[in-house]
Amino acid sequence: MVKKLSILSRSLRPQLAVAFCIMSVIPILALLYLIFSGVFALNMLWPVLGAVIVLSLLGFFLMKRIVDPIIRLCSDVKVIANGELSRKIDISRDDEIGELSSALNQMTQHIKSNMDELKIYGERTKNINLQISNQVIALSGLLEISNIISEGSSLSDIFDIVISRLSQIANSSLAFIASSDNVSFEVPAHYGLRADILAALRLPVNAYILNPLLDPCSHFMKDSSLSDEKNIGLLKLFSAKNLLVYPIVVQGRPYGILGIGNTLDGFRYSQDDIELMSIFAKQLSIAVENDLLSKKVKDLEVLDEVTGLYNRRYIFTRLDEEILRAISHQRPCSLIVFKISNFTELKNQLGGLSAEDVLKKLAAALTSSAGDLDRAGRIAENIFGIVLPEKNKRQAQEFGLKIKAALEDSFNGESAAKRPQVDISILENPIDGSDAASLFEKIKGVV
Amino acid sequence: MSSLKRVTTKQLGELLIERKVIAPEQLQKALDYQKVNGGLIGEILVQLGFSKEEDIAQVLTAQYGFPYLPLTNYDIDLELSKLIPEHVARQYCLIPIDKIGNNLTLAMSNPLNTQAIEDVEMISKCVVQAFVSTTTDVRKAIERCYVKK
Repeated sequence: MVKKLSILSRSLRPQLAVAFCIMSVIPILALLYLIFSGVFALNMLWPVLGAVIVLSLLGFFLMKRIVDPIIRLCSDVKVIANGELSRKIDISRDDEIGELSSALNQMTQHIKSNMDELKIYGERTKNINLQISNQVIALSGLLEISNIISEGSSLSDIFDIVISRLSQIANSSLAFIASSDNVSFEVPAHYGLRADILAALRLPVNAYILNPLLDPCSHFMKDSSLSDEKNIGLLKLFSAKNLLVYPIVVQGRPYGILGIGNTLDGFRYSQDDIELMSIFAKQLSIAVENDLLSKKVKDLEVLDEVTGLYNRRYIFTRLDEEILRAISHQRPCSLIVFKISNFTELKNQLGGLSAEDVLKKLAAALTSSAGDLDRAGRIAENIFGIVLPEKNKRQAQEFGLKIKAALEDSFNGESAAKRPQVDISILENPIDGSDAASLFEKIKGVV
Repeated sequence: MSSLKRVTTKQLGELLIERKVIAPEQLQKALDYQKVNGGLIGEILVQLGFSKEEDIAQVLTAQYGFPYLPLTNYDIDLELSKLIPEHVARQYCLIPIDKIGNNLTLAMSNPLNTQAIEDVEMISKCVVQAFVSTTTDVRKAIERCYVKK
């Protein structure tokens, strides 16, 4: 209660009112009392009263002149304290209050410039962090791509990962890999390309725009730093304002292009972006070359992985060669086809590994029965064949029956569940076809 | 097929030397050529100019008793060619020329090709009797019969 009534707890304005009362109203009342009680003469009333009022007002205004700037100063400081550092205390006086406000202004200015500097450093740190994070993403992408290339992943998987990584660098809103077949471009993987852009890229008529990008010795870049009007057609094709494209070169020859782009105004590709793209392009070159080599290796493989017999490709090639020889020598050439008709049941009952054992056993029996010039192979999962040069259908039938008996012998000790049921068919050149393709086509019909 | 019996194991080249159609050196040259280029020895001998097709046909006739049939002016029944697919006829160099009952008569450049005869018997379900003819004649006859079809 005492605190509530105390004038010291009030702000300056009530204190000023109280001071005014003490300095002006109370002396006037005291003066009036003295006058009316006869201490002063009545004729002195008005001059004394006037002088008192003037002096009181003067004192009041003097006090107000001191207190008002302090109040304003206080409210301005509060605003500054709330963070509005641009607020300037507008009190220009030559006394201590003026000095105080000027000092406060200087201090605020100092704080503001420090804050601005901190903000700039913060922005720079943020940008550096962003760059580091982008580079970490890109480098981890490069590492991931290297790993999947060395693991022998499929080319389409590698393409997908490259595209997903490219979409995360240089504010890319589009990323693509396009391969060329000299006539038109195909887009095996992309990010952010609309269907109409994809269709346009595939048009042979647009190949003339894209073909220059295949140049193995250079790359294409268009951003706000270059005001080149020549490549407007290319940018229109991709609906992009900025574009960075690298050629993919395989074994010294152009395979296709790798590109990123966006539609940002005033955007510039950094040196890091350009270097990253060149590394991605090199990685893709390695991946495509690996794929080509592995396909070549596969083409050169002649043995079936499971049975060790010749594979379908070899049997086909060998049959074709033997047929050509047969035609040249006016001789026949036969192909005995063995089909395990219960192979699905064997697999279901025995499991994959035991079913493979059956295949291996059958393959061994075929190999031991085949002659020096004959070639036994696995044509499909459950279909085997033996190429019999210079044997006609009758001779091949006799041979087939002999082999069937040998196969039955080799599985004699096995339980009925493990015994393959083998159907035999004979195909002969020239009766059933004039080349390997026509005989292979007939395998589907006879087995 | 049952009518065909090969009574000698001698090769065509040896027969031609025996009958003095070619010299042993010519046979050697023809065999060397065959090693490099492939093909039938009879055709190579003709191609190299060491013998004539008719000589070879006559040796086969004399040695094995196959009747010789020049096809140049022979009028072949085109319907018979339906019994044997064209690619079989071309590969074995033969042409059906007559059919009486279940007996099918073939003109062949090499009647010793028992596998070809077996195949024709299998396809046509007939008993085959082989006549010797020159390769050129048979090929011309094939062109006539199968192109006209």
